Amino acid sequence: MERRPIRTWDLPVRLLHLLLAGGVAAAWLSSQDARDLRVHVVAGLLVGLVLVLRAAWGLWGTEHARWAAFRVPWRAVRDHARGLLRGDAPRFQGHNPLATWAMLGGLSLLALVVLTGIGVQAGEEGTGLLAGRLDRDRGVALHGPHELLAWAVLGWLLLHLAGVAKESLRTAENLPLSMVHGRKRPEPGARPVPARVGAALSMLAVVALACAGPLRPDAEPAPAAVAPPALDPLYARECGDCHEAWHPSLLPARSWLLLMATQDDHFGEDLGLAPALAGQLQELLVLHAAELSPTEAAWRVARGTPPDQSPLRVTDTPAWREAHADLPEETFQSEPVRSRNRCEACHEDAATGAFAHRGIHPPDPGLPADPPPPEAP
Amino acid sequence: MKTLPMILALALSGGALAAGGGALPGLLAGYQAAGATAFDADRGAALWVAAQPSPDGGPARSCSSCHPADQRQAGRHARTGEPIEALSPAVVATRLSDPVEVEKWLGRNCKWTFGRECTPQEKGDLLSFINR
Repeated sequence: MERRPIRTWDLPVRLLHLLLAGGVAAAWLSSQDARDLRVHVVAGLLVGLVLVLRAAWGLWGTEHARWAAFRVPWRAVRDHARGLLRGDAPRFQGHNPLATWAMLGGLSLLALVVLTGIGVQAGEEGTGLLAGRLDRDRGVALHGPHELLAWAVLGWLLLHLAGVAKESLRTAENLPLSMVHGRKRPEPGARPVPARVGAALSMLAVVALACAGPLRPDAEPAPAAVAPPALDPLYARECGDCHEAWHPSLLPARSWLLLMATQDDHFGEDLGLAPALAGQLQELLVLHAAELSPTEAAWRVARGTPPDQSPLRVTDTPAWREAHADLPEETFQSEPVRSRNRCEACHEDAATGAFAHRGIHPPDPGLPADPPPPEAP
Repeated sequence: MKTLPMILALALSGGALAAGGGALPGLLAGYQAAGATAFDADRGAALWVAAQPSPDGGPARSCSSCHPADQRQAGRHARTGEPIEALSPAVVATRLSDPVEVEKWLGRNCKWTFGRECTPQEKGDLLSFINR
């Protein structure tokens, strides 16, 4: 009998598998640091695009890639599992019944991760495919499920690898390698599938076009609403002479009104602003207050500050505390920062109020602020 | 089209006239009209560094808490750490050029430092010291 391996996985299947693995890995690695958010979003959308292409290839692909091959009843899965336990489960040219269901489960999980991710992006960032279409609170509420599903993907991945290892040992065939070159030992009567190079190149072109356009990693998507206005020069001078001119969008309007009403005791100082000047400042502060500004930072301040509170410091808002909760005290005491009040020390776009994730440049945490005090004898 | 460069030139020369302590003579005349006698930069220098007890128990206050007595040097806000440009008009040309601005800062900073408004005599002495 002819035992030469025959092509079982066509080129698009192998290409999409590679892209999927790469996208999932990139999304996972970029999920911890907020500055990597754009990479995370791009990787997630790439996974989504690959899922769409794979779904389409299930309609037009070759024998073992088709959805038709995935139509396996539960009974077959159960019988195959029992056969594995007994040690007499048969070998299959494509996926075995258990692997078929595992593939469907994995692809569904990934689709859910991508969909919830798009929802979180719309809610928390105000950007992406659902920006302006999804209620922001609902988007934010998807953060937990998104993370949970991502952990489920990780767990699924371990099962996937274990299954591949087990099947490789059981059938004495290097299955990871067969996902590279596409060939497997033939079952009796099995025929090789065509490579479908043209389809694979077309898919590669689609992905490349997406990565050069909407999925460009260096492009920061604009918020759904208008960009924040530049800092008013009058405000920048009158307030910025003594401290950083924090962007008006970082406090609710009621906070600014309270600050201006108490300008004779401004953290222990009598500002003595002339009434006309004070009125001008108050007007532009209220006009660009958190409630009326489109940025994520403004939205978090407006949403997170209880209505009965009017914090006078940005650092007293729940939004600020939440966003900086993980930072050690040393970060704020280190020399280039020196104080919690100096947003611009870490946020390159603090003056515009944008506070983009990618604009965060904290000082080197390994850098000691001051030499440690000498040990007491 | 010829008027634009002319307007620009006028605006620039006007700005140059106002700069470099241009507001000082008017301010000093005003203080004298309010009862001050001759101004003394040395008296201003002494007042500049005179330590005042802090009402909140913090470190003693003086003008030099934020502005070094050497007026050519830049300072630093005592509480926020915000850099402050030198006050001397010889270093920063816009200093002492806008009377409203000068009065705003004297009013605000005298209250913080001394817990009261400065007298016309004190203001004139301080400004003379800054301009020396």
